[in-house]
Parts: sequence; structure tokens; C-alpha cells
Amino acid sequence: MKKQTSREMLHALADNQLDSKDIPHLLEDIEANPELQAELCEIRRVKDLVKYAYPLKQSTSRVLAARWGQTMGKVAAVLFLTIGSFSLGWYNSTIHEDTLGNIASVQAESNKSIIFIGYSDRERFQKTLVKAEELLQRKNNPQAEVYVVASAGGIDLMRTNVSPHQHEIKKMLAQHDSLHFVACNNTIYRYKKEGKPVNLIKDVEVAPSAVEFVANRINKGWNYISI
Amino acid sequence: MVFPGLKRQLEQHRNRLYRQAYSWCGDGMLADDLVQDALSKAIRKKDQLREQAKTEQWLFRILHNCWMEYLRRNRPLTDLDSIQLVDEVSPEVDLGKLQVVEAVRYAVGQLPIGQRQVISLVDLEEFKYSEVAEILDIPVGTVMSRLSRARMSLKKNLFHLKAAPVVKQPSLRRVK
Repeated sequence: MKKQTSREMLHALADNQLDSKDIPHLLEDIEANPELQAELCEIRRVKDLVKYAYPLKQSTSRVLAARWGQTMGKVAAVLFLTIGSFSLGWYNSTIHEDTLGNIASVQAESNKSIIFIGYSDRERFQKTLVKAEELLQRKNNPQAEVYVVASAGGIDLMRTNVSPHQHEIKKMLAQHDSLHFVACNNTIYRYKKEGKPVNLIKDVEVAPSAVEFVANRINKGWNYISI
Repeated sequence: MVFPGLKRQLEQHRNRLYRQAYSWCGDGMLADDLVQDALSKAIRKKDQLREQAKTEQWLFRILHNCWMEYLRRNRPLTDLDSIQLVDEVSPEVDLGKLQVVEAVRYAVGQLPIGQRQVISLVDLEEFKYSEVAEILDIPVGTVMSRLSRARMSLKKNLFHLKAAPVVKQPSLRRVK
């Protein structure tokens, strides 16, 4: 099979577009080739990310235009502006409190940071720990929280017998209640499938998906640093 | 032949059409206009719908035509595949600072239009390659090659978002 053909077949498999007769041969190829396995995994990740980025939401609902509807819309707009001008003073007094509440909430979340590492790289490991320590020192307040989140090769930082910083991580965790190390379960699962058992350093936490973990917190206003 | 309840059926597709248009153009207001235009055209041309089972493809095809028409009006004499969406975020901006959703949308927006349309029709609407070919009026082979190239680019540009998002099970568990 040519390389290009293989790639397109992989996409077709991921998209559930293949005839059932083609699937067994392709699966045999994939089973025998770790490169194809990794490629298929990447295709599925990209698919998931695209779906995640475009959730199905209500569009700004405009009823199909009918002439009477447009006319009534103009009348309604005039009424809205008239009534709106009377109620503006009341609205301002209520929205002000809501806005202040939101600002306070965002400020509280801004004490929290995520450091994301996705590579097995000694230099990046070192940078990650230095950055975590720096953030904890800089924030220096009881609400400060730092999550080191690892995915793909990055979880090597948190694996016993693999991480060059095992003792340092244990020491940091003992020193700071507000410091957390989180490993991605998708990656752990993949490692296990590849025959690489994953033993994590004590007190390292596991999230089902690093991307989702990070996305949820960024949406809440957490700081995000990618190493 | 006019199928009963067509108008209601068209309205039911509005959100999906909007998501598709938004993924193509990256602009909420323009997406809304395109969908409105497509639905109005669908109602005007309802007699052209031959098979009710193919309503979806027919609608997305009209949406595609509206988008092409918009591009022709606004970007004349330009090869559609060569058009890159310009975003206010420059390459120098650290993508790590963007939210995941924004990072993915930015990467999708960087794809040539043809690739962007194919990936959104396959990944968001889960159309078959043959249906995408019909909607966009291109050969199935072109659908496959555009899809492959689109995903290669996204993989490269989204390397920092390694793991796939899982919607359920948001909790943490502690490992002892």
C-alpha cells in the first residue's frame, strides 16, 4: 500500500466510511505498524478537537422573514426604544452589582494557574517545576493554586522510575497544599496499550482528559501556561 | 413536488447550518446572514427538492452556494483554495494564552477554504464522503485529499493540545 493511500484509508476508517470488506485488511496493517496506530490516534484527536470547538448552539434565532413580520419588527423596535429609555435607569442600578460580582469571581479565579506540559523533555521538565515554584512564590496568597497538567510525553515527568525529578516533586507536594500534579488518563491508557505500564508518583492526580481539564478551567478564567 | 411541513423542517436545520457556516467564515453575523439567505432560497426553490431523504444535503448545498456567492462578490478573481482567513491574532501571539476552543477555531480558520469546508462537513455533520462530494460538487478523491491535508495541518498547528477532549467524567481521582 502506498503511503498516501494508507493515510487516506486511515481517515476513512476514523470517519467510518469504509466498506466492511476493507476494514479487516486495514486493521491488520494497523496492528502491525505502530506508525499507523499513532497516525490513527492523531486523526481521532483532531476530529474530537474540531467537534469540541464547534458545539451545536442556538443561532441568533431569526424566524424566516415574512413581510408582516418585518413590519411588526420595526414597530416593536420603536416600542422597545421608548420603553427601554424609561427603564434604563433601573437596569443600570441592577447590572452594576452583577458586573461587580462577575469581576470579583474572575479575580478569584485569576489566582489559579495551569502549567501544561506535553513533551518528554528534560529541559521542559525543569522549566515546568521552576515555573510552578515561581508562581506559588509570586502569588503568595491562600487562594493561589497551581496545577501542573501533563499529557502525551509530558506525563513522564510524573512517572516513577522515569521522571528525573521524582524527589523534587514529592518535596514540592509536601510543601505546598495548593500545588497539584495531574496526568491525562487518555495518555496513560495509550501507554498501557503500547505495553508501557504507568506508575505515577504518589499523590499525582489523574484527569480523564487533559484537554478537557485545561479547557474547563481556562473558561473559568484560570491562567494558562504551556511549556 | 412540495413536501408537507418543509418550512418547519428547514427551521429545524437552522442551528446545524449556522454551525457549519460559522466554521467556514468564522464570523457569527455573516454566518447568520448566510443561513438566512440559504433558508430563504430553499423555500423559494422548494420545488427543486426531488427526494425528501436528501433534504439535508440539498440544504447544505444551498448554503455552500450562498457562501461561494458571497466570496465571489467580496473576493473576485481569487483561487478559493488559496484564500487564508486572516485573524487578528498574529503568529507571534502565544497560542497557549488562547482558550482551547479559540486555538482550534484559529487553526481551522487558517485552512484553505476548500479544506475547511470538507473537514467541517465530515467532522461536524458526519456526512459521507460521497455526500460531501455532492454538496461541494467535487470528486470524492478531492474530498479525501482535502480532508487528509486539512487534518495534517491541524495536527501540526494543534500539537500543544495533545489529548482528545472527553465530555463526560470531569472529576479527578487521587492515585495512592
